[in-house]
Amino acid sequence: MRDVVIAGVGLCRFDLYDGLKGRPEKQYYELGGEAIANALDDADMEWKEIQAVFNGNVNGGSATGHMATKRIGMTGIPIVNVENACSSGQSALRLAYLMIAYGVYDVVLASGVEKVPKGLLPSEGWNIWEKLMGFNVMPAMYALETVRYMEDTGATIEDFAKVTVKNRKNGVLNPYARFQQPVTIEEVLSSRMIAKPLRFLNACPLGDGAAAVILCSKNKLKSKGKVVTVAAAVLASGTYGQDYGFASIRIPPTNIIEFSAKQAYELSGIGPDDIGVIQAYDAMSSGELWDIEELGFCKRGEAVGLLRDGAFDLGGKLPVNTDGGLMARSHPAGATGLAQAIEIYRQIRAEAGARQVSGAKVGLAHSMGIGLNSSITILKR
Amino acid sequence: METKLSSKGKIYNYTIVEQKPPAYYKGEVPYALGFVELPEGVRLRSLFTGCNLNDLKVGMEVEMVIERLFENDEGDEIITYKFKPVGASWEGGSQ
Repeated sequence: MRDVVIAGVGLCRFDLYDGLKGRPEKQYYELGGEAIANALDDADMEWKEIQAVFNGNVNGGSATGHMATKRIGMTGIPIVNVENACSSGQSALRLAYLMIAYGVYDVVLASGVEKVPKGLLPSEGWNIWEKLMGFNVMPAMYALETVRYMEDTGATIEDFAKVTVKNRKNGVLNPYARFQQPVTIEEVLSSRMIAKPLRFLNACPLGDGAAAVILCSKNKLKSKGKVVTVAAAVLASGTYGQDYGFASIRIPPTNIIEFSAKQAYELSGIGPDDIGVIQAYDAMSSGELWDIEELGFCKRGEAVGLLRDGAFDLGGKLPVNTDGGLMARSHPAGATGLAQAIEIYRQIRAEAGARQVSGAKVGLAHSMGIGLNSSITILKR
Repeated sequence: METKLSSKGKIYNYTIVEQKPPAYYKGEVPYALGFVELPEGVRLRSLFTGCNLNDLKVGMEVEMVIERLFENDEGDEIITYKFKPVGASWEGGSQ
């Protein structure tokens, strides 16, 4: 295997592009084209240098990557669409990484595009009988895990509100986030209940968006500045016994986050102590806390105290979701994982502006997806 | 190997869903669901019934009942298993 570096990255602003309330109406392929063009500029590359595309998307149906790239160039290169639920973006990045690491191509684009349907995200990752019984509500699955987490660790609903407040505060500094206004603890705790004890502002908002990451072998790198290497790009799917909900018998279930983190650390030779900035998976704000723990940054229950002490704030000892996370950025499923990796890239290159974590050299991005999927990208200088 | 599971267990976790699910479910909203831990060591995903949903608690003893879920578009009654608190004077449905 050879080293794979990031050639350039691009985003469009995440928002609702529905033509309502003064917002422009845009299709996913327009957003995708914008992000890809931005990534080409950032990489100082032209379309003809791209040799293959892996494009993450969940809700768009067929040919979403084809539609997004059609606006940039039509050079006959292979385009493969990657649907892996909320892990789609990072799954696309991993495929691009492997193609370069194993010498198939030198320059590959990982893109993610999404225009989301309104309301709770529909998911096919359930048996029919489970849907008939109303189990297919992702916030409810998070609520169940949250209730256990509260029982086991002493975490409170105020703690989960703090996660939302922290991430929305970071989002104020991110011009690509859907929400660039802060919220208060009181606003979170008085927002409407979705699935007890989780409320509307404990849930990441919907959003449309696109993200693009161009990866390449070292000899093809053109952009100036600090070189960012992909230290690990891991995907774990479908571990026994943890099907979003504890159906465990006396054989302990395999925790998929721990399982994927172990692989990422072994492959990269990097451990949690080496990592200075994290983009954790905050689809529901309580989940950010056990995510940090299961990724190995502290023991179960310890994230609560660290949060209260401000450790995860910008300027804390381990900043988490520096760009606002899913909570401020919003969650266009195909693009989310790539946006997470882009923030790590910006931080390592010291290009994160007002959000900059001083001295960030190694960072980790993690996203989950129904199925289950757990994908981790570790980037290093 | 076959193991006969008991119909009584304890609530491992639960939530009250206050938003209509994306599709398929046509029962009442809000509704309660969660995992029940059986003495054999199995945890079972289930709906809860037979009490005021706000009275549910982690660790509460519950037993299985068969109950109407809803009537589908063809007019067929769909039934399902649910769990209710042990000792609750159950008359079907939640309160």
